[in-house]
Amino acid sequence: DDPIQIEADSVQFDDQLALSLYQGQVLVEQGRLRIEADRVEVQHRPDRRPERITAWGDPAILVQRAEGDAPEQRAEARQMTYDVTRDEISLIDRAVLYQGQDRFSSDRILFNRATSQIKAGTSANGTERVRIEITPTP
Amino acid sequence: AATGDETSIALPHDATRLYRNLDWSFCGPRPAGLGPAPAPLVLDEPLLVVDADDAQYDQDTERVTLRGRIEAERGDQRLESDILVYDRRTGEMTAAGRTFVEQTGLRLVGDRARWNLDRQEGRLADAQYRFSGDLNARGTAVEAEVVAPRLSRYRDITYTTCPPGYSDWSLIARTLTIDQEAGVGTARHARLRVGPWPVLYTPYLRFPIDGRRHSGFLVPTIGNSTTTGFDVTTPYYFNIAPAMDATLSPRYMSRRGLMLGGEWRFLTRRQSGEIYGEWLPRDQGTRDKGSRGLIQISHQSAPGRRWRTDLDLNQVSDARYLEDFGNRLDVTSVRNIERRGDLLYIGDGWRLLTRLQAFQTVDDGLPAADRPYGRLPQWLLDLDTWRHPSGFEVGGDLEYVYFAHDDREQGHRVALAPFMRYPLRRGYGHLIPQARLFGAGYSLSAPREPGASTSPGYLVPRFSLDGQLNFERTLQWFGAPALQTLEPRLFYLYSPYHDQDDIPLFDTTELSFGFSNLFRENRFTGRDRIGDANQLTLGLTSRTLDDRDGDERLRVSLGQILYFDQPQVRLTETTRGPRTSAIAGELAARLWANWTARASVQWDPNPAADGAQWEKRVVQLQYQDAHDRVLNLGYRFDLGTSPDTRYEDADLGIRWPVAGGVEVVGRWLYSLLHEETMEALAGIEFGRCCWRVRLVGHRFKNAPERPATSSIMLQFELAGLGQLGHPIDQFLEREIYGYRSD
Amino acid sequence: CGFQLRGTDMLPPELNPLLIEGGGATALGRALIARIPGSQIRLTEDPAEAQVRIRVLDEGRGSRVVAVDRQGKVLAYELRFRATFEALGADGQVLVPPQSIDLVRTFDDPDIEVLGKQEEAEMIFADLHDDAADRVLLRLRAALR
Repeated sequence: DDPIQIEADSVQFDDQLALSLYQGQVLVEQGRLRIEADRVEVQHRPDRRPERITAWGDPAILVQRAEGDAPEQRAEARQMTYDVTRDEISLIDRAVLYQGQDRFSSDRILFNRATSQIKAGTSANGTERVRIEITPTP
Repeated sequence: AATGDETSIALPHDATRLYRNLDWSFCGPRPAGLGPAPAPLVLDEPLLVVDADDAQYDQDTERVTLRGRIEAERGDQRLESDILVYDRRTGEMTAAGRTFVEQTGLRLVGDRARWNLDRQEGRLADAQYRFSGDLNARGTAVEAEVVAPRLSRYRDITYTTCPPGYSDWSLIARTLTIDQEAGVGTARHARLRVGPWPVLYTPYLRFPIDGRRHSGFLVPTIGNSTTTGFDVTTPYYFNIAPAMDATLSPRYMSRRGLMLGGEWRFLTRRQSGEIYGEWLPRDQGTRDKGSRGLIQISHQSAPGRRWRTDLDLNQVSDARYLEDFGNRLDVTSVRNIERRGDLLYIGDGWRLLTRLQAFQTVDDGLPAADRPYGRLPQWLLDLDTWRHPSGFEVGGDLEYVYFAHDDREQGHRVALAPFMRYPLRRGYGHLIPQARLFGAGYSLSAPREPGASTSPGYLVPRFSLDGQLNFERTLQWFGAPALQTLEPRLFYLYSPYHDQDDIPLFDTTELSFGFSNLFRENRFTGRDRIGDANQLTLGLTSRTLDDRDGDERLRVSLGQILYFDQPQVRLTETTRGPRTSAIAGELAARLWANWTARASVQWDPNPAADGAQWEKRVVQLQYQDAHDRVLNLGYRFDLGTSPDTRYEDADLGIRWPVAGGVEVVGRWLYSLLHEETMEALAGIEFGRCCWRVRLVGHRFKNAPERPATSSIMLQFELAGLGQLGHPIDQFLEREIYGYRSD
Repeated sequence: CGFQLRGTDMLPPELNPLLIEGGGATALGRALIARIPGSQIRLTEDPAEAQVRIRVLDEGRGSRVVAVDRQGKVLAYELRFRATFEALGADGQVLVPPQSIDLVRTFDDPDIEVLGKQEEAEMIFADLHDDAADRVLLRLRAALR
């Protein structure tokens, strides 16, 4: 899949833990996906390719541009974790996911881009209720 | 369908959810008095908001699976369930477990719900429903379907307007359609169950579900009476147009057969009319089993600013019809029925009335000569009183009548009665001198008596002086500040004697003696007798008024006439009368909070030889309060002009709502003179909000030789299945003075 | 015994002119209008000018049988006249709140001399209308004192 670029004010590498930490207006891009956050931590695989990216922000923002009939998707949360191998994003703490005109909000939302499944509430081991707001298409 | 672990948690969506924070303050259609029900919320594109414990959204199929205390709201619609799949594309929601759905005026709970909040439609199985707002009704249905925002259909249903917990009656039917737009409910293959008993089966039943007028069955009346036997009436109401309706009342009587009653009414800005008829093709109660009936037509109109018409036609097939079929004293005690048509022209300062009037006598006991004359026609030109700035007033009238009669002399009469007066009215009293001239000319078909003239007439002047002074003082009346008046009144009347013996009595009778008749200008009605007079009436009235609101607490009046000359114009031969008339007195008092008393007496200090001192005594005591409780106690005695017209009656009327919606109603008219009950009525009304039963026993004297008619009438009313307002209310209203059906 | 002559007019002068709403359309209205001529009260038909507006809310007459002879035929009726009215000041404030007048009188009428008795019944109703008009003025006077 596409290469991942990350920009930030400062970065630290920790080779033993194969961990790199970016701070200050961090921008992560991968193809149609873009994440903006205050702090991002990347967990690398032995071959240095990112295995899991975790972003914190107030809130951290994720945008996936629309393509074909798939509507644009946006997500916000105080903490996001992007599991690259499983292509799954989990949003934690004041999590909001926009699906075209529809809006999902809860304390935890799991968004699997491969299976195009969204889970919120108990099935995403959240503790709060899920609210879905749907604007009917005319 | 939804998968995943089904946790059976307490089902919040059972029957109690149907009734949460909704009251049942009325049963069936909303009473008009409560004003309009809350209108449905109309938003252009309302947002759909769904809350749940868990949501899983498959972007490919655009289906969201929700689980756990799901609450979906869109505009005024609300849906609650536990397991639900929402198809984003179609807006379809499919629920597995028990689901609750609500929109303005309707709540449903059921299983296997399939609902679309966008299109406001959907269906439920094994449903319970509850209507509110315009209609309080509830029930169950094997299949419930909302087809449009205000149209819902149900299969294999029960329906009742009784509050939850009371299944006093219910309708069981194959299908039920509730059209809230048209305000009508329609059931098919319906069975009505009252308590445990099936009462009625009908393949088709329409009933109103809001305050608007609808065609439909009115409350049936079932009864039994000694003259008609088993007696059942099932009226059906036709709401023809906003300003027109009709009621058809088929009535079966075991002793008389089938009768059809019909009433047609219309009302517009310019006119109103009513036709009421009863038709009995074959009266089993008579030998010849003939056809009998009655017709009543009344019509009033104001075609133009100056024209008015008034028509009042009544006709019965035979003299005894009213005695046989009238259900109250007011109908059966009548001797003559009127047929009258009036045309009135209102000019500037004058009015011209054209009238045709005749009577049908329905009392066989009335000799032919005593039957009333007809006015065929009457023209009455009435000049409005013209006031000169100085206060001088002039007026009068001119009348032509042709009096028709089958057994007595008939004739034309032209009469005039101009007057002039100079009224002085002040706060402290009034002084009204008046001079009037009475003239009349007749042309008779036959003389009144052999040798009398066939064109008699008279010209008689009359002078009267009416003076009154108003004195006042303030005082304490039972502890409340009051104003007491003393109003002496003198009324002098002079009219010379003119021989009127050869004038027939067309429309003249002697005024019955009473306090107010002491101050009449003529002691006779009509224009065939102008009473000679040289008399002075002394009158004294005292009123005690509550100082706060001016309401009359007590009024006492006394009056007597002093005859300076003996009145010679008489209708009946009597010996020379005394120098003074009987004393007439009246008393009216508001005793305590809700009690009022009234009395009027007539006492003759020196009665004629066979006369008694007490000629009239009426005493009435009434209790009436804000809770519709009425008690009337009346005693009436009248010496009458002859033994036949003498009466001495005790009259008791009661309407008493008891606790729990039970109401007792009664009237007892007992003739102390004949020691016989003239009318006795006892009724009880009880029930609950969704049903009422009225049972009225009635006994009244309605025919000379027959014993009194006694009957018992039962009316059961199921709120929401028969419209309210039915004959028994008007019947009670007249019987017990003061009873008003709201 | 404390009685003095009543003042010259029924209503305080500053309450002239008086408007009877509906004028002669109601029997009570006609009776009120008839009580006015010759007295100091001035009538107007212009609502703007009226200091006091008397409004007849509803009225009705009725009769019921209260005495019958041995054959059950009528001997006497009870005639009844009911009216509800209210009185408003120039700026619409309520001077006399809506209240009702309910008058009855027993009337001997064996329903034989029908024409004469119809006229007598109308006389009695006219008396009841005049009595009701008196009561309206007396209540208005008490409310304005």
